[in-house]
Formats: sequence, C-alpha cells, structure tokens
Amino acid sequence: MSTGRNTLLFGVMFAAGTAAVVADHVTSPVPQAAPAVAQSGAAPCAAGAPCAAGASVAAAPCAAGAPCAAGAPLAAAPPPPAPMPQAEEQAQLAPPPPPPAPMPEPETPAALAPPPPAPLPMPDGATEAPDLVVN
Amino acid sequence: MSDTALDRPNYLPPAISDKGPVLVAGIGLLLGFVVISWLIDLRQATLFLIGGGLGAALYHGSFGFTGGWRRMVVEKRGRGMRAQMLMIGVAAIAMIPLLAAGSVGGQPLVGAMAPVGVSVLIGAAIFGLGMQLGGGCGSGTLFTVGGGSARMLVTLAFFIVGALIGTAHLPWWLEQPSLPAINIGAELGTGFAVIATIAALGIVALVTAIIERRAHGNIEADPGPRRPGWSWLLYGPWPLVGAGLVLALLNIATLLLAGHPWSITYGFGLWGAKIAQAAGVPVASWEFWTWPAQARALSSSVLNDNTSVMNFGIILGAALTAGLAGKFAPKAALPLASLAAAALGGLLMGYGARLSFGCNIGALFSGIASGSLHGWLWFGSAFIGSLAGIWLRPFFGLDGFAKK
Repeated sequence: MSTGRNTLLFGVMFAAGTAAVVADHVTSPVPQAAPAVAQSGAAPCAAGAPCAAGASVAAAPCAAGAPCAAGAPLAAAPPPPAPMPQAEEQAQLAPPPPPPAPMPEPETPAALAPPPPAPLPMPDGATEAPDLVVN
Repeated sequence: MSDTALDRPNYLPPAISDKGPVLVAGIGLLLGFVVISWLIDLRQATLFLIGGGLGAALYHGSFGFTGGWRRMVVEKRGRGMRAQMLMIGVAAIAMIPLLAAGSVGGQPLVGAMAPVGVSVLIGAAIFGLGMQLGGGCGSGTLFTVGGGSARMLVTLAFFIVGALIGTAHLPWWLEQPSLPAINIGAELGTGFAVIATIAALGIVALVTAIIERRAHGNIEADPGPRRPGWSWLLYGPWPLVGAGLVLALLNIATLLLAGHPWSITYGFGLWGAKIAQAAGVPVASWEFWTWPAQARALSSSVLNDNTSVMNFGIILGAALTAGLAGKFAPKAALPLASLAAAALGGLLMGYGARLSFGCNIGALFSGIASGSLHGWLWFGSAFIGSLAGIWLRPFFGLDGFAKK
C-alpha cells in the first residue's frame, strides 16, 4: 500500500522534472543530424567511455564520455563516385583549349604584400579548446 | 490435511494496483513516445520505450547489482551474481560479433570502450563503495526512484552532483597512467573473444556456486512463479534469470538502434551540467564540456541525448510496474544517518562513474559485453570498493557484514 505523502512527493517531482525538460527543450535547439560522411570515425560517439588512443591523430577526437571504437578510422571512406552518364551517341571530342596567354613582363618588381595584421588578443576568460590526448 | 494442500504453490496475495501512478506513468510513457517522435525522431522515441522496458524488467526482477554483491559477500548466496553473469554473457554473444561487423543496416556500431588505467581503477572502486552506501547502483537508483523510493531520490540527486563534479576533474584523471582501450574482439578475433568472455563469466559464476555450496550445502534455486497463470508477467515478480535475459536483449536492441550499448550515468552528468548552467555556473567553459560531443550535448535539447531519454523511460517504466504491483512509493522510515549515507553514496557513485567511464551498466555490463578489457578492471575494482562500502554501512545504521 503506497502512502499518500510519498505519492504526492513523487507527483511533484514528476511535474518538476517534466517542466525542466520542456524548458530545456524550448531554450536549446535540436541539432540537425550530420551527414554520414561528415561524421568522424564513421560511428556515433556514444556515452559513457572515452575514445581510444587510436584516435589520437584527430585534433579533437571523441572526448571522454563519448566513446569511439578502438582504432576506428577517423574519417569515413568517401562514397564511390557516381558512374559517368552514358551518352546515347558517342560524344564528339571537344576542341582543344586555346594556348595559355604569355605572362606579362612586370615593369617593376611586384611590391611585397603588407604583412597581415597581428591577431586580436583573446577576450578575458576565453580559452582554446584543447586537444584531447589520451595516453 | 491432504497431500494436495502441501503441493499448492505459495502465491502472493492478489496485487491491488495503485491507479494514480499507473495512470500517470502510463500516460507519461505514451505521451513521451509521441512527443519525442515529433520533436526528435522515431528512433529516439523507440529508445525511450526500450528504457521503459528496461525499467519494468529491473523493477519486476528486483535486478540489483548492489544487493546481489552484498548478498554474496554477507550471506554467501550467489544467485544474484550468477544472474548478472548470465545476462552479460548473453549480451556478449550478440554484441561482440555485431561490433566486429562495425555496422548493421547502415547504422554504425560503437562499443563501450575505454582506456585501462588509473582512472578506471580508482573510479570503479569509488563507485563500488558508493553503491553500498547509496543503496543502489546506476540502474538500481533509477528503478527504485521510479518505484517511488524517497531515499533513492536523495541518492539520485547527489549522484547527479557527483557526476557533475567528476566532469570537472576528468581531464586531470585522464592524464594519469593508462593503457589504451583494449578491444578483446580485435585482439583475439571475434570467436575467441566470445569464448574467452563467456569462460571468464562462467568462472565467476562457478566461484560463487562453490562458495555458496561450501557455506550452505546447497545452491539456492530461482523460486517458481509467485502468482497464478501468467499474471506474474504483469504484476511481478519476475524470476531473476528471466529479468536478466530481458535486460540483455534490450541492451542488444539499444546497440542496434542507438549505435552504442546501454549506458546511464552520462545522462546524470549532462543533467547536472544543464542545471548548473541554468543557475549561472559557467559549465560550458569547463574543459570536459568544451570537447565537441560534450559541448554539443550541453547546448542541445536533453531530448536529443540517447542516454537521458532512456533514463526517463527507465524511471517511468519502473513507476508503471511498481504501480501495477501495488507497491509504488512504499512507506519507509528515513533516519538521518540513512539519508546521509544516501547522499554520500550518490556523490561517490556520480564521481566514480565519471572517472571510470560508466557504472554497473555502462562500464560493467556494456563494457564487458562489448569486449572491452576495461569492463573487467571495472568489475574487480568496483567489487573491492563494494567490500569497503559494506564494511562502512553499519556506521550509518545500515546492515553490513553482520546481518541484522
């Protein structure tokens, strides 16, 4: 037999939890599913365990809490190229391209491009996202 | 008295379902499925329902790692541990070959792999200690919360806090000595990996049986159905072995659908981070939460996270099951010392799980079933930590090595 007070407590917790989930969903976007080719490791990072050291070649391999299969290749193999469309008639050979235009003689040595401006200092509190190095 | 009376099974009294919890949990599961289908996708909604199934199996089977380990150590009864080994073995038979294949039906598959090192060793021991104080492990905490245990609600709250603190410290722990993740399937080949895993699990089961027989002269058998006909399916309890088999099948289903095995505690860390962030803590600047997958999870809807959604399903599935059995939110005394143990246990479990890349489910169950060596390290270390936890229980007014 359940007690009324305990059941009420859990009713309140259930309502609070539901409200929190709704608030989080409203304020946080649902990311678009990444295309399969773009996913590194050809496998989703799952929860609970970190990446194996085999992924150390990546600048940012799957982080701890998001396992990757040990030794999984970081980049999925690209899909095979689509077959060339077959022409119904044999295509006529295209005319050869025109010869390249002669390079113009510079009258004066080209002036060196000005050096790029110095990078702006990082804002206070900002940090670079570190590479994960798993020994 | 006639002989037939002696043969009558010892049935439980008919279950009187708790209508309120059944209604709320049932509607929650149904609405949750529809809403998640609409907001995310059908696969996520199905994972939510799988969570519901896990919650039901956990509750009806009272499938707790914590109690099973304690019963083995204190009472020298190993039925619970043997059911756990069977569950992991059944899952491993399917999961190791599936993971070796790499993908099924276009769905890439990733195992629960992790480095084998200091982080796992220490984290698992901390978790083992914590689960004996907290009164439940990762899955145990969820299904008992779903069942309406106020004490386990305290454990869960501090579990979330501990997991959040763990995310702050994990980068340091990852710098400690460790071997890379060792995939037994890749090292030995799929066939030998399955055989080796089953053999090792069998050895653990055999050891428990030997200890039990020496202590009691017999091996405790699973009791028969406690309700007439098939009503035990709905109202419970389920046999331990049956519940374990259902859990194994649902973990395999999780792997096929989500692309990774069942895990629990990642969701706790994420919830803690989101709550802290909402309270103004700059969690997003913590190193752990700047890593790509983590940053993405933190900035995305919690409904987009597989682990969180499955956790919600587990809680609701257990609540529905507890309600059907008429056992939702049982009255229980909550002495202050017991609540302190719940809080401390939860903190230790959350922290330990983050360090060791999972709990009894993510690291032990899914890790071993994936063929990851770290799962075995986790098992051994957590068991030793559990011994310490059992020893500490009496300090909080709980039963320990000496049975009450």
